[in-house]
Amino acid sequence: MIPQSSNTAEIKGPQAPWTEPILLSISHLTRYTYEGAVQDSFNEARLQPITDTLQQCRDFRFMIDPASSVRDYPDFYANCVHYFDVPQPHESLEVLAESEVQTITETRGPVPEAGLSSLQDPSVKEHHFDFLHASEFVSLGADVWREAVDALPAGVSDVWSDTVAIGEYIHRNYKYTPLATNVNTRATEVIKKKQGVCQDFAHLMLGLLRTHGIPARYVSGYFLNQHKLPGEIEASHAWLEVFIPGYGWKGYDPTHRREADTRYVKLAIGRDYGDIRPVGGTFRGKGTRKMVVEVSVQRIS
Amino acid sequence: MSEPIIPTAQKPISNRRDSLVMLSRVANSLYWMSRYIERSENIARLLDVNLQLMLDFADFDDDQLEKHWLPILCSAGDQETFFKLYEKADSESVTEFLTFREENPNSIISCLFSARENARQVRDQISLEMFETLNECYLFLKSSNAREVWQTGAHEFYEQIKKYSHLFQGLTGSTFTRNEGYEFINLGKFLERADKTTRILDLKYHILLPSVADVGGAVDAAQWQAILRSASALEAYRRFHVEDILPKKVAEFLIFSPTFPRSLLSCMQHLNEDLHRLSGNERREYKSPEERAFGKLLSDMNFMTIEEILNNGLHQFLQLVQTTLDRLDDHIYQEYMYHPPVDTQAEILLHQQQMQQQQ
Repeated sequence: MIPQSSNTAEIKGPQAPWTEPILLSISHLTRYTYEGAVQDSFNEARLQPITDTLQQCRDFRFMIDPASSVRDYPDFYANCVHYFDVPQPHESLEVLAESEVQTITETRGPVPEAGLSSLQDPSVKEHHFDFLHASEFVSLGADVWREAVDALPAGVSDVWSDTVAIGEYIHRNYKYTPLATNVNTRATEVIKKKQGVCQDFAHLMLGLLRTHGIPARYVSGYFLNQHKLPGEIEASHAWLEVFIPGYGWKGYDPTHRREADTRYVKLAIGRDYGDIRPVGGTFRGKGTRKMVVEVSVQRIS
Repeated sequence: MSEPIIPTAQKPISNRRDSLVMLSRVANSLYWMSRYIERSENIARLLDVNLQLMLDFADFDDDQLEKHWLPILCSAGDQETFFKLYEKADSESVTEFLTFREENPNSIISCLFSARENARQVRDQISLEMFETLNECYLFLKSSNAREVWQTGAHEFYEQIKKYSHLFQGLTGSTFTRNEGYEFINLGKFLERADKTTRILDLKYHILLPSVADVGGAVDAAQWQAILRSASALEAYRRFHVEDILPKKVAEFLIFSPTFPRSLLSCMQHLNEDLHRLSGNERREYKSPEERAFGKLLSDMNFMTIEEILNNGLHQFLQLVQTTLDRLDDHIYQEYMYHPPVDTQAEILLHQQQMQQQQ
């Protein structure tokens, strides 16, 4: 189901989701260059694609320079975290993750209609409880509440169709603007600015969904971008998933106002960006530094 | 009633050699502890032998005395410091300077104080017996008794110093855990010993460079014998060369003997082994320029003859060895012991790695 048109989603409106399984080759390079030598660098990376019913990570290579031994552990949400340290003085640090991922066609069938009441069952609640509350980037204050009511004045009747409705609302009222925000921008600030990038839209939408009582979690990953939005930079992508009773987690991408389909590759899930930053860590040394990120997502077949 | 506390079995600490990692500070202390004690032993022997040699030259005038002692001073101590303290170099002043003067960092007393201070800093890493030996030596040197022994019979005094060193090295062999620290101790010992052997040989170049008439004479023989005794090598030499003490044979023996443990070649072979054990490099692998230079010299020595060395100049050869060993010492320091100074302002600042926005 490859879309025929080369126009952007912005102009044409939502298109039918891809259902065709595809094989993607992904390379994600992060390069830090410091002013002078730094040392005692301790880092974590969440860069290994998940393997689940919708995607299979066939190959994964994780490389760092300066060389150091890399180990991994699963975090609280079962994301695979690679960690390493570079104690000796160094002037740059490169983290390269390369993977090959086969995406798999959704087999769960159509999303069932479900109201909020079905979320209350304790056996269901344990799956989504974490994702109903405020988190570091997503506060649930009055600003967010006002925006949530504007987005969905009648309240929730069906989880999935209301999710799509909130996505449409964001799409109508917010503008995709690179460089208007930064990595630390919180959802409340996005509401003020009415613009941002995918990370901001994901945080904003998480706030609106959670305010309405819909469990929603942040997803970090990549997608095969054949039609770039104007000014869009090649970087890792972010979207979200909502929990639908009787179905499970379902991905929705507010930046492109569509559900996450076989073009999407999931790296990690968390309450927001703060839980699952792709590369994070600390070091000792002079503070000024430069970061370059190069992401490439290629379709193999 | 509270539950009785059941003692949990203590988890055994891994017995594997590589689990016994050490701090670079510890490596530094062990290395210098070992170097200093080896140095003190060599100085003691050198002074002892030369004082005895003087008995044969009782008719030396001031000038001749100075010619004899100055090179020894140069090879073991600091000439400049010496002349700040003394007017002329004779048996009394040079031996006192090299034995008791704390102003001289290479005097026996300075070396042994430093050895003991280094040992004290890593007291928990060495055996009680090792530390007690050094401490006893330290207390002996600090007591007024030491000078009395020295003044009544210098030979007994130097004997005592050598015994402390022998005792210490023997105890190291029989009580020290075989971990990386042992390699650092050995590196210190053999590097110092190799260096001192070259210096003892070089003495003959400086001092004992005889007037033409003396070559082959009784004086010359006595001096070459003194060289051998300074390296504790007289008897070992006699096993191989029963007849005369010939300069060429002495040099050959002190440089090339594969069996005598103080010869340059044996010391360097020990150094080579310990270096490799420490770095984990393969047998013939040398990874840094300093190690390569050392490996090349050692390899060259396997194909060199004493004739070649003498033709090209013994002094030049010994200098090359000293330079190579100096550079190796510096390399060991840089590689294993040195922690680069950091901008303290920067050091205390802990930074978050910059984060990438997802777009």
